Amino acid sequence: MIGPAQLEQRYRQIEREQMAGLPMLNPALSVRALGFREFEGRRLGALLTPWFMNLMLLPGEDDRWCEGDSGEKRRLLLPSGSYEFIHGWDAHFGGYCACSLFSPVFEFADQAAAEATAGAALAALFQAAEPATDVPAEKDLAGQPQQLSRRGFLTGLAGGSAR
Amino acid sequence: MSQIETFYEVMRRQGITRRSFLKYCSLTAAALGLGPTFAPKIANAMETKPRTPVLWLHGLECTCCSESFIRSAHPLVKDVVLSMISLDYDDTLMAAAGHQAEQSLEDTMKKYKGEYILAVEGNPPLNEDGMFCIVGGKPFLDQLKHAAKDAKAIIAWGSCASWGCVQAARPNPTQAVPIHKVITDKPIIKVPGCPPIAEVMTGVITYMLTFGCIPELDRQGRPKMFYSQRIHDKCYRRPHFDAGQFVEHWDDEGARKGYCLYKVGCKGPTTYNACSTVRWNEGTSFPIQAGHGCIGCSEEGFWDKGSFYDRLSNIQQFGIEQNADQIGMAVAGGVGAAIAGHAAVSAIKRAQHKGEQES
Repeated sequence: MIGPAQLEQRYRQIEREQMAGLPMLNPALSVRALGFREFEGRRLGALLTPWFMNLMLLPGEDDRWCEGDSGEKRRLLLPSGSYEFIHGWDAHFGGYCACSLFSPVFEFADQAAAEATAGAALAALFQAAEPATDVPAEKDLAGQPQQLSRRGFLTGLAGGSAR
Repeated sequence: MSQIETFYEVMRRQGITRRSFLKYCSLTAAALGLGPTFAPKIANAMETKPRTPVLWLHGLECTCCSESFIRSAHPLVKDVVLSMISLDYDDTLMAAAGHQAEQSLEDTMKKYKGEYILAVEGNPPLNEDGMFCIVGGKPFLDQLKHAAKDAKAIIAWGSCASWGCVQAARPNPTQAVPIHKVITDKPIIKVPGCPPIAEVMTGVITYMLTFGCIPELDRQGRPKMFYSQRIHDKCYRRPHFDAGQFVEHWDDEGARKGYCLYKVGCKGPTTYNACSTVRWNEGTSFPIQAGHGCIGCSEEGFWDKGSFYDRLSNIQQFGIEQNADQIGMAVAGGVGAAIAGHAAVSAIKRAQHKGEQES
């Protein structure tokens, strides 16, 4: 099974080969897999490269993610809310799911800033949802703990169904 | 309130069943990213609030916004929204013509003074005192200013009204300008795109009916609920971008495998719109899914940014500048954890999926 180290190795290779010379690269940044942790039998963490910062979900033992899934979307329920991940496939390490945080990544002046942001993003991800403020009437719903809804329970259990 | 009918009354008069109506409400709630719990709220607003008169003006434009709007995914949108928002004046869609039509504009403005929404499709040309666009014997510029005077809020439909679009492309012989250049004293909601997505258009209007206020806008004046993410952020071909797998030439191996279209000119990384989530024609597809790069039609001045097939190369300043909801400055290591934290939380919020229904 693939871990953060192999992920870094693979994306460093992509940086040297396929991405070489493209204006999408922020030269101040380098590939780094950060904060990977167990989540519902899978591993979830952040992947920082000079051209994107994604949340990366790596498959668990029972997952049979295949090349044909690539491009499919799936919802993942985390303590802070619901997130849409996109299935990807890598010839070297197989299936994964990704959720974009930044791309391109020119807003980061240096590696330390980007890594700090990735760390903060992961922390925010696992923080319980606060009531949304951008919708006037949504205050009424603040009392409902999102992670206890039936839909949430079912999609969380099933890992969210990709349509 | 006055004797204006409610939306529900108009709808029943049109022979729409309550079941269809509720279906529309839940679809709209989902499109707005509000989740199914908001459907009853929308239904309630439409049942109790008087319909909102909308004046729909056409300046220099191609009517693609109207075309998009009347082809909204749900068949009810045509019936419900069109009749309910009460297009009291729309020279493309209304039955009246000639002097009678212009009279209805005046009547509506007088009757619903300060209550109506002014929707503007197209833009005014300023050159030669506005002579390049004449409506009812007078320059469109005059009609626009006149109608804006007593409007409650103004919607700029499409890239013409929002940014200027093709008629404002260099050298812009008619001096066409976006409407915010001539209306400076009213809130303007920009709904850019050429055309905007139908669900986005009806969503914006329904939001205003339901909550009685304009949706939250970004710094550029676009509703955040539909314009806070780039095509690139939610593109189903994104994994190929991340993995450096690009279409190098049309119809090459990569094209057949559905690789990323960045190298053949896709403007997805710099374009804020909902195409990769809402898609088009009842969620059927969108340009990238059909194998063509995004041309960035909802971005300011997209006609003047080179060929649709030129690879984005100035993405650095573009990406940051245009990112209306982000930090607006570089995150430097020395600046401290607070800014990194703010950037992180904004990114997480953007990535969050708010609606619970199928997107």
